[in-house]
Amino acid sequence: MGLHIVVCIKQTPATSNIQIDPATGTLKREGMAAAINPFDEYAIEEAVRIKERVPGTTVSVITMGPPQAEDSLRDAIARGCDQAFHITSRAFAGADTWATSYTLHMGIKKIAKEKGPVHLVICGKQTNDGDTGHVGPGIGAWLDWPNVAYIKKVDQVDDKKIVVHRMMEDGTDILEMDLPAVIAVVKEINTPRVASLKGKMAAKKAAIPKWDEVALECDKSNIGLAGSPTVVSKSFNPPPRQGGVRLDGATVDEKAKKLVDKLQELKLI
Amino acid sequence: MPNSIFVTKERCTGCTACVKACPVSCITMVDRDPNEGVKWRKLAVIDEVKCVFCNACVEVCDNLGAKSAHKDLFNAITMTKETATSTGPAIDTSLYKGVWVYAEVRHGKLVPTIYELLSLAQKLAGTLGEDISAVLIGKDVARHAQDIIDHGADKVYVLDHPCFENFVDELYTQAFADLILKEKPNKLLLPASTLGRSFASRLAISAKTGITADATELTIDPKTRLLHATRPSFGGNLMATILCEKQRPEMATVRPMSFPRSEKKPGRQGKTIPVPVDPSKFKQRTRFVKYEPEQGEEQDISAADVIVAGGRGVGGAAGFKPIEALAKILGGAVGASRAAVDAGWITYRHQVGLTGRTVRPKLYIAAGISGQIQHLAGMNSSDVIVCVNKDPEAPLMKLATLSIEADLFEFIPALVKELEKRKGH
Repeated sequence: MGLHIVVCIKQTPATSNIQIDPATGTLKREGMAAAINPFDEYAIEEAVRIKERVPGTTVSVITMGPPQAEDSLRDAIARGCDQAFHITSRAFAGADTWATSYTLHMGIKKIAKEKGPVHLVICGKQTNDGDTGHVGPGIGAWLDWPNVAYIKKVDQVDDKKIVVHRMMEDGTDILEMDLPAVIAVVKEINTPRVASLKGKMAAKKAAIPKWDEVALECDKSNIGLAGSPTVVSKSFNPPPRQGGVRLDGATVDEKAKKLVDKLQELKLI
Repeated sequence: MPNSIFVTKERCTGCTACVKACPVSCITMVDRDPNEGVKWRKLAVIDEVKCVFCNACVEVCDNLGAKSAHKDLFNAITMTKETATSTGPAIDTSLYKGVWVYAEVRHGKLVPTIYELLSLAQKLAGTLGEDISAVLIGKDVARHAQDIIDHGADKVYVLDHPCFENFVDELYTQAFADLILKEKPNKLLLPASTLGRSFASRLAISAKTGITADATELTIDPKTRLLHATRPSFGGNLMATILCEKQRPEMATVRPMSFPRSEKKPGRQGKTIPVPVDPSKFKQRTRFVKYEPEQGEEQDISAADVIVAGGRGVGGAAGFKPIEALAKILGGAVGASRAAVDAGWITYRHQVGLTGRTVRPKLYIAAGISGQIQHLAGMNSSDVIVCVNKDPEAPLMKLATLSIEADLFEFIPALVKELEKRKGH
């Protein structure tokens, strides 16, 4: 039997494209469009690959975000997801990882209610703006499903069980989970494909339901800024590291000598 | 009151300082209407939908205002932020006592992050006047308790059971959450390792509290007794200080290598508290199958004192040969930038940076690495940074403690030769 997979994605600013304009010496920012969080592309791809392996599988994609985040959902359909759902309302703004994982889990429950039971939730390992890596396991906790993060390979999978490879600092852990379950994947897991023409057509035509806190029957004390246990008390730019000494010399040997002198002086060698 | 932000037109000089400060690029400069009769040609416009209300632009504009002789300029941005009024059940925070740290165990061995957490905990507990407890979960782990006490813990809770032989998120979370609900710690720190990040986030939800991920600075406000956890976000472009005011314990994962290790005082007095474990109470829907060790014998970068790293400039897999030779003679590990890893020249486990590992060696030698912000995020707290690059304008050349403008293929072998020569004497 096929699975029903839900992929959770986020639209984020594409900060990895910061470039310096050689003419003016300023940061080029016009190229910084919002896009699917790069780590979520691997989650989408893995869901689509499971769909290709297990006949009868359906891939749903969900995001929580402002109206323009719909673009990222259409992009996900173009990459092979079957249907998309958009959680959007001002009431969700300012959510921390608690409120975000709560809200997404309510969305997953609603997808299950409307489209059939969900077997597997796939998230990227973290977002490139928040960098917490906390939402995937958080969703597992809210749903009370088992979860494993930092997955670099999905081994066997059917509608009852999944075997996954977890990337650790010192090697690989192999674990088996009963479904339903939540996984968060790392970029080593696959190489995301580009959207197909057929996918782009489907993306254009897709009707994407928009759900707010009422549609999801959210407990208001768990959503948005007001429902977030953590608050940002202040933000600041990190102090730049002070530049140091340039070691000059006529030859590389002379420069090497100077460096070794310096390293000895600093008691590093 | 919802979040709002606006620019006072009369005070904006179009200087673009705010544009540069904004981590999410939501500020653009537009041409002013010439009919306004203002001498400045540009005006800042903020996209409120994209704005994350981080206050970075307000800060730079206000700083310029403080420095400026013209009191009617700058201080142009006004931001109001929705104040959180959590409607969740209020808890009596005074019942929560003690600073707790989690001692990660891997294959029966204590992971040294515990010593970093203990040194941090000593600082926090000192301000609070509370004691320090460590939590040890695993199979045959009770033997580590005295070592943890020697390093500064007053109490060690030991959950020793064969079912904990390997880390399984669901199982560990249930056991730890039960202990938190029973013992009511005030603060709880875990390492921001692979295991710690995964474990801590599930644990925070289960224990119904807030968590800060990957903190690099942690302090206690002596007045409010709250934990101020500061973390980098937006790839290190912005630091944010996070508070968890109403829930306990206030949790944080702490970036490895951000704090010194605590000193060992053999025979220090402390209490070991065995916690009874009944696995039949737990849901066990995850089974650990096996562990496959990493192939290869090379030194791991995350714990190395010396790292020699190569980037795009090494030009290919063979280009890492001189890097490896230098690492070998210095007794260090080999690191790499994302460009070199993505090109397939070296494996991911060597990657330093935002999407790789964070390192804090005593000496970091970067060869052929320009120093993109993502790379800097992973290594800029190294004690001494040496940069070797042909391009004197590379960002890392300007930030490095010591920089050498040279072709790495000429310089590194010369450096190896010089080191060999001095070793011989």
